[in-house]
Amino acid sequence: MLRFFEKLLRHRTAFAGMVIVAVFVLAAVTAPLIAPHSPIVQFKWFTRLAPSLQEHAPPIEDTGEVRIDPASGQPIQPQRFVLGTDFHGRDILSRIIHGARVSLLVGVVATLIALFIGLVIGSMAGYFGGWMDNALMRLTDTFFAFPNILLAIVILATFRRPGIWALFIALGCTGWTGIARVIRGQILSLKEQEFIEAARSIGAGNFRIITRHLLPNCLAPIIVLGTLAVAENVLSEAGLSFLGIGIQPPTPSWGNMLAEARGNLVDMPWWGVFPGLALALTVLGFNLFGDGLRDILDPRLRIRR
Amino acid sequence: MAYYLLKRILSVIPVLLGITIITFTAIHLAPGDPIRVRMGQRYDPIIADQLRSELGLDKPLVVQYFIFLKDLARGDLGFSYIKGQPVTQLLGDKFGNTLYLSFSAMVIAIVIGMLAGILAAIRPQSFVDYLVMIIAVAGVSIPVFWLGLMLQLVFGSYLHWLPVSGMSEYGATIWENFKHLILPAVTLASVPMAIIARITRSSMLEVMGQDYIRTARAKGLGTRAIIFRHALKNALIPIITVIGNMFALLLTGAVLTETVFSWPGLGRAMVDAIGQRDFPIILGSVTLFAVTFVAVNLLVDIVYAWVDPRIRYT
Repeated sequence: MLRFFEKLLRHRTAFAGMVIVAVFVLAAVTAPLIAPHSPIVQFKWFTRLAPSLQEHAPPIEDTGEVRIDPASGQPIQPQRFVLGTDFHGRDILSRIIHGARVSLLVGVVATLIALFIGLVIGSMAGYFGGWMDNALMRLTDTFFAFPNILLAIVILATFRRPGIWALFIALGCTGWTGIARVIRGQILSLKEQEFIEAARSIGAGNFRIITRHLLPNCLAPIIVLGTLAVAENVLSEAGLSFLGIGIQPPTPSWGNMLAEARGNLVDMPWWGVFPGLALALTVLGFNLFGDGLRDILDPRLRIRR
Repeated sequence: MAYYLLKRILSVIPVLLGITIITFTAIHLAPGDPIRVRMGQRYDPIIADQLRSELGLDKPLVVQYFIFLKDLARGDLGFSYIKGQPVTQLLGDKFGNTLYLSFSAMVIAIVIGMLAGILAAIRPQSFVDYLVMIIAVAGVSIPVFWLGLMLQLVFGSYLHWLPVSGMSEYGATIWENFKHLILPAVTLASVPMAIIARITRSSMLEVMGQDYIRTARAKGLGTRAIIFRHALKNALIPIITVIGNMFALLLTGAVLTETVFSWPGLGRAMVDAIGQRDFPIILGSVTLFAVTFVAVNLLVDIVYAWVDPRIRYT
């Protein structure tokens, strides 16, 4: 374990990836604390502002006094919007920070679902072999033979109201094929070894052998594939939300922010540049981290992909 | 070879059946009555029932599925619920546009990706190598739709070099057509380009360490001859496999790229149809996507078996 962390620290790109991932995870967890504003409040006196570190002065009446906000009866306070505001006067930085929550939550939960399905199918196919292997692998081929996002779109189309739950299911049910294949391969090679025979001879059942003896030996590829799958799911979530069938506004998601910004890019480039940058960085972080983990944990996997 | 071909072609059938079953069930489980959508304000239960039996929507799901398969075998994908026109007619041109965009992107990805990979492999650990690898990692991480938006902004809105969206009108010059193609094609090519560059590099590095390369060098061949005549040929095998897998990514990316660039293709038609609950169009476009994808993979496998005789016998 200690040696693993030592290697991780020495692997420069993996370490960089880990730092990026850590920053975004931290931002997502503490979003309500660190976001300077609410992600959905519309500051209607401060719309379409460019990024700036300066405070924006409130509007001034002809009399020279600060305009009174009719809603609260108080004078309008000056506000700071580091990454600017959008068409409706919402703070882009706060929306990006809260968007990290949605992106990472979908990325992680969808990956966990995919891991579960992939582990069950892969280990059953590899362990029992025979007709079960054949049937399960044909099923896997069918799902594999089809671009994930298209299948996810079809699944999302069945929901009356797309949202975070629909995304969990759509992405979880489509992303498991690669995991199932790798796990099956691992189990095929492991199950002939002596320690499995030993476990069987002392009376361990199939379920126990799979969960206690085989799967723990597949931990390395599971961790690597899982990390890379998070990157893929984060991208898919953004893509689906961009198409309007994922996270629905006003809940901020990097994908739906980009969709909203799309028609206003020439006037307000910051609206589209920053959410995309956050998205690209997060995905880059998970990819670097996953690739690095692969180098450290399981060099044999490097040939694939 | 004939046996391998037959086996490989037959293996496509369960996959295609599986995809149509999944899509068909998913779509018919979907809430939202298409008849209601089509009739809108003038909804009338009697006419609705009439329409339903006309379209075959009152039959059991299994029967509907077999009718769909029977029609599919004849190349008939039914009629659009919303527009009333045959799906094949509505999707025909769009399918062509998507193929045009995807193949252009594939050509860009293969040419630039392989060149970059070779350049990186010639001098490992050099500046060029690091640069190519950094761009390759960035390429798989940058979302295609964001890249598309940024390219539009820079080359279209700021520099005014290229049109921002759409496809050239029928009868436009080749140059005009090309100008409309370039931004979406480059956007779509970004991910496969990055992956091809990576695979080419690692595959070339592996080959360059082989004995026969040393032999070629020992007999005094130039670097160029070694790379293109000896190394690349043998490095091609893993690259061809990846190119087959890339096609899935391309079709996936096509849905997003077409939306960003308002490219009149299959992906956009599918997304639009989901909003309108136009089942035959959704089913039709998914089926077309699946057939293309499976066909390309089949082709790649055959080429693969032809290039590497070891495959045929396993």
